[in-house]
Amino acid sequence: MTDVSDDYDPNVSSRLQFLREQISLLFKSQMRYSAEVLIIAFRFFAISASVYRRLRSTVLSLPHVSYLKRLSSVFSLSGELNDSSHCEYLKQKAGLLQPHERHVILLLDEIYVAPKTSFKGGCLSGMAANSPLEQASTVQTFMLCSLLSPNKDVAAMVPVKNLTAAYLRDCTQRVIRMLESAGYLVFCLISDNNRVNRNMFTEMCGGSLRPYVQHPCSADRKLFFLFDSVHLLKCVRNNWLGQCDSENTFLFPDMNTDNVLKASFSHLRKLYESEKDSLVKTAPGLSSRVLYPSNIERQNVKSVLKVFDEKTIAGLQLFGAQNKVDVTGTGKFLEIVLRLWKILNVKSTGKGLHKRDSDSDPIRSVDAINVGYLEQVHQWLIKWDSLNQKVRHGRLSNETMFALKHTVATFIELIAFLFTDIGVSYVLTGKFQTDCLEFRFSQYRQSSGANYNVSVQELKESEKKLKIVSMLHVMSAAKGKISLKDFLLKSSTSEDVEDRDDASAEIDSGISAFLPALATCDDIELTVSETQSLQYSLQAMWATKLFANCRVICVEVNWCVTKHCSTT
Amino acid sequence: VCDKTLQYDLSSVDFTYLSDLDRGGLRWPTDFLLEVVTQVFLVFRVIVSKDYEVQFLTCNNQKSVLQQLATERLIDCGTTVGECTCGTTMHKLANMTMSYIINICLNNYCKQAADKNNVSKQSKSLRKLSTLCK
Repeated sequence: MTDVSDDYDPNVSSRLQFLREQISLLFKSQMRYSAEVLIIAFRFFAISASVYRRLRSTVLSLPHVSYLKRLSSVFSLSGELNDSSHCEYLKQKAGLLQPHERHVILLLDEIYVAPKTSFKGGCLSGMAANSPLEQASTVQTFMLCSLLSPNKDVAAMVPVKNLTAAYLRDCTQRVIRMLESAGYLVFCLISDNNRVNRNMFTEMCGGSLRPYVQHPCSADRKLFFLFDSVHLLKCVRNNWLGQCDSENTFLFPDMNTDNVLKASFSHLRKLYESEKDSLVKTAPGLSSRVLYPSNIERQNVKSVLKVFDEKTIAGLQLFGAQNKVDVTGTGKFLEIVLRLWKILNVKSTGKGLHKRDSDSDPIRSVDAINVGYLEQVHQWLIKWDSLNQKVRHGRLSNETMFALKHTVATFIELIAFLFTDIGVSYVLTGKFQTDCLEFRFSQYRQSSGANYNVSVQELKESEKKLKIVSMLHVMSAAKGKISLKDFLLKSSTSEDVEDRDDASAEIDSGISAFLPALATCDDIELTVSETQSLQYSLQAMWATKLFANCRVICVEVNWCVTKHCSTT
Repeated sequence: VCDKTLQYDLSSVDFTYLSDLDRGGLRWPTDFLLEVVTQVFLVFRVIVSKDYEVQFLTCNNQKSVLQQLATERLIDCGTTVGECTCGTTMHKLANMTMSYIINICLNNYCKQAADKNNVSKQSKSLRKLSTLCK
């Protein structure tokens, strides 16, 4: 596996190398920077241009901003579905990966953006792709995440308004085709439990959602559909809080017997109330924010994990025994969900060893105990669903129940597929989450000036920076020391020339559609105010040197002269 | 100079805007420039009309599209024939002018879109307020 992470984590020798170069640069009249310094410089610049300028002017010897900007001009603002330069970028990147690293998961999510149209670099951006006359309110983002390497990239960004399942399906299919043509092998789609996403999955399955379907680009391959386990965990907690009765009670079947148990959220509240004033607590995770979350606080995953926590379960058992309250059902429910979460959230091979917890071990065979537990949970969910309870009367909502059942069932199939078809030696279930896409969104917001409500233009600009950082890193990891000149030349020859040809061909074909419109120009009459505004707009040009030699043709006299003459 | 400028009647409504803004530094454009600007504006008006707006917005580089269309239009009108005394072709002069005007037009289009969005927001809040009056 090539170590190509986008996260910068230098070792001691590279730090020392950087410092040595900085010291040698101090005494040089002509600055020449190594490739490593350029990569580090661009990383700083991508995070914050102002901090970079400050660092450069005060303590470090780094390249000039204009040089870095030249670097960034290699790529255009891109990410849309019909963008040939972006396809070329993905193709180049796929070419640098090992064959086994090209198995990718496609993550889908949408980011809310400020509805704003902006004009920059000759392009209007901010209009919705599904409704070009309206401003986009969200950007549907597709991210590819390599299964056997840390490589990840945004595959497409589609500004949309009022997204429908049919349009999303169309976009997803186009993205899959684009990635397959670039050399990637998409085998799984993951999204949150949104109704539009679910409907899109259902449409792709031909009417009823199944764990996998035949791959649209290859008949002998499978395409799996998953819902994000993190979102599902939040949904379970939210459903629990939303139960109608005063104690917020779930009525669920026991996993091993046919008994129906009660899990009350109020037990946790009582536990919290009993020890909120003590300095030492049996359930230190519980707090007012965790137990009475506002709508915004409900988005926080950490607060959910405080509920489904081992200490909370142990504290609850103790509280039950001391106060003679029956908390068996609540404890069991917490245990079931917690164990499921632990199994679905393994992101490193050493987690189980480190925590001394077999639930957090990576799955090493199809017959592993953890896979058996997933099967048990699936059966348990089916049993719970068959109780036919009313909505919000002791049960999960239809959406959450369906998504949870589907995800657990798909995981079982997916694990078998990974061992048999791809031939992995172990499975890290935490790879199958949309965390890296959410992290990408936070990077967009951070690089747009720590602004939550970013615009489409800002999103594209941030993505461009991240793309360059990623490309530089992959190139330096895969090819050893990179020559920046080679990279720039290669990009400008192979990409730019082709792009320019493509772009001009595209513009030419675009213009032919508008040519009949030119004939209708004669029918338009300009108003007096329009004519005067146009005349005034020309004044801005006099200041430039463009017309320095042609003033006889372009400018007759000063206005003051005409004004003077007319009045005299 | 005086003979030439007297043909413009600055007291008419057509020039009040410019004469009000003038503090002695404004220049009078030639018919050539005015024609270029007018034709570019006409093309822009047609392109953002109902029939072509969607198509125009789905283009990748709107400025290039407009620039090429305006060039076509100017060639049809015969505006860009000949050259300046310095040797610069009228076509080149027209292209330089176009860039400015297209930027202004597209920039104003963005502002218009933002205003529309604001108006729809206001009408939304008005609708909500009106429910309280019932």
